[in-house]
Amino acid sequence: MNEHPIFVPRGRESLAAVVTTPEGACRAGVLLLQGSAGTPRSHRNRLWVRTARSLADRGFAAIRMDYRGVGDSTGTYEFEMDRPPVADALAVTELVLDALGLHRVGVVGNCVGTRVALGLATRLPACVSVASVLPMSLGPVLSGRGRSRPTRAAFDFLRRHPTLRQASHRLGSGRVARGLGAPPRFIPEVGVALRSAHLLFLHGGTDHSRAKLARGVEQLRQEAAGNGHRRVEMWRLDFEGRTGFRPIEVQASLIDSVVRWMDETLPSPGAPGVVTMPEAGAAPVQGPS
Amino acid sequence: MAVQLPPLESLRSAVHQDLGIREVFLLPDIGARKTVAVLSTPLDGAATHGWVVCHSFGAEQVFLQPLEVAAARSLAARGFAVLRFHGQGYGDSEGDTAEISLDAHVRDAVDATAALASTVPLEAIGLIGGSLGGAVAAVAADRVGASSLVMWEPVVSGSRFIQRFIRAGLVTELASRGVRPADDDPFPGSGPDAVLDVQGFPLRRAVYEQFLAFDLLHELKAFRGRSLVVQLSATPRRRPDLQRLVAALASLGGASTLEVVVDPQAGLFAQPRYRSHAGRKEDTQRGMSDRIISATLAWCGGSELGAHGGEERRRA
Repeated sequence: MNEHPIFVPRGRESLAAVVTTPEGACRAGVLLLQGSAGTPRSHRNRLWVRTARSLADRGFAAIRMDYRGVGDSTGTYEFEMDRPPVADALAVTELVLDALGLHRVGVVGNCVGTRVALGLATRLPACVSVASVLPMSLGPVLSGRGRSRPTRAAFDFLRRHPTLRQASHRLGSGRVARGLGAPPRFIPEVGVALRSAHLLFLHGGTDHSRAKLARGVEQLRQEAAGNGHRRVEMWRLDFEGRTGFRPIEVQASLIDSVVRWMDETLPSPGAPGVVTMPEAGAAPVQGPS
Repeated sequence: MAVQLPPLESLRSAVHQDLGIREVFLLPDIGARKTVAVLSTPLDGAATHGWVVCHSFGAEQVFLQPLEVAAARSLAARGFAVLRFHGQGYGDSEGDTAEISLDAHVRDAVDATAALASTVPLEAIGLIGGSLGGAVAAVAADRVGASSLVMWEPVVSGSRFIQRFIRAGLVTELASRGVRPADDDPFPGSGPDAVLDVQGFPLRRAVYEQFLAFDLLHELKAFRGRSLVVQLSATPRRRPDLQRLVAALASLGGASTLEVVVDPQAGLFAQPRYRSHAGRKEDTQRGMSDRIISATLAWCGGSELGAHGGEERRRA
């Protein structure tokens, strides 16, 4: 395994990245994208460093990057949920793929880094696999916080009127909404990415959000059935707390899951492209029957 | 297909024309293993004085990085050579997080000073750091006979630092999971390898005990260079522990200055700095970082550090 820190020119700015390559042949690239909390390319508790090295052990070239204005990259830090830095991620990925002579790449996004990952998948034909790490919230993959426009308007109205909001809670409006069991409204990039890439959701939220995501995954599977049989999976990770990927053990499970997913969806040339469910790492979660 | 290295190797450095500096990634041996470092140097002329930036402990290494990067670039633009590096167990280093200890921090800072000296011909080298990085910079400066030292809100009492570090993690847990902090011993086991999970960071009991025994004033024995201690606080009142630190540095024969930077965000130093606002993340500590860097640059100017290189550049 070798590591190559680089500066990727982007106009007047430079984006810092580290490429971890295997000792021998390289089968594909994997880009690792953290969220928007100003976390550098190593990610919290060096999660991406450890993931990159595990991927290199399996023959992948792993790319970790600092967003603009973060870590060793220059420029001004700007990361808006609705305008994720897809172009910067694309520039880094294309440069590395060209340099290494690679034609396939997988992308892993954590939290709102998922928006960058999915955006990249829609713009880069070489991207054939996406893993979305969602330890807490489904927000990064949902459109309008997962609510339709009328529902959002209703919630905004209730937010402005505390008395009505309390009454609504007492009447159990949340339970009623959950009982309806409607699938979540994904951001458009999810459906577009699914046309060319396998999708994995590594989920660590509540049972409620897991059930919601499971409905969405089931719907995506139906779409994928007429779409070259792309895989759509949802695996469970038992995150705790709000920061830092706790407990420590879940960090290893997350790394195992990412490596296994990329191993399965980006097989070595010549290897059977058969996909198996994970035996270690995250627990697979099936969609509702 | 085989990995082709030359195209990547050619991207090891970058020129930041707007800043007037060049930055190059280095892969030095620090702590007897490879790590990644960034050397920032001025574009116009050779530096005569260098700085090694010592990062802080645990998650603070990440939280303080924006300040360290901005300071390194500002110092390089003023004519200094500045080396930032990842200690073993941090960032891009080869080492494992479980190897992190207070002793390893100091060892790596000493090695980084040697790495800078072997990379750039310099007349003098100083060390700089914030929070625990400030204390590490001081101990390393003491051991290598550095010419200068800058400490931003340095840790003086290791015990107070590590208790605060653990408490911050437990408070987060309390807020998110309703878990009560342990009253006495927070560790789940009694052996030196017992690990406390502090927001995903594995704190070993042996390291915890190193911190309990650490007192910066007792570690300083021989440093005679110039030093700046930057206190961050909401009021201009000078803290007794930092006054004692400055007095201890002066008693060793060096010139030491205590500068108070008053900032309403001072309590958040070395804590997460980005906050969501209207769908975007904002850096809430940028103003404080600017004030810290201004105080540092002003002190460097007043101390005429690097003046020789600056004069050469002006002549050039």
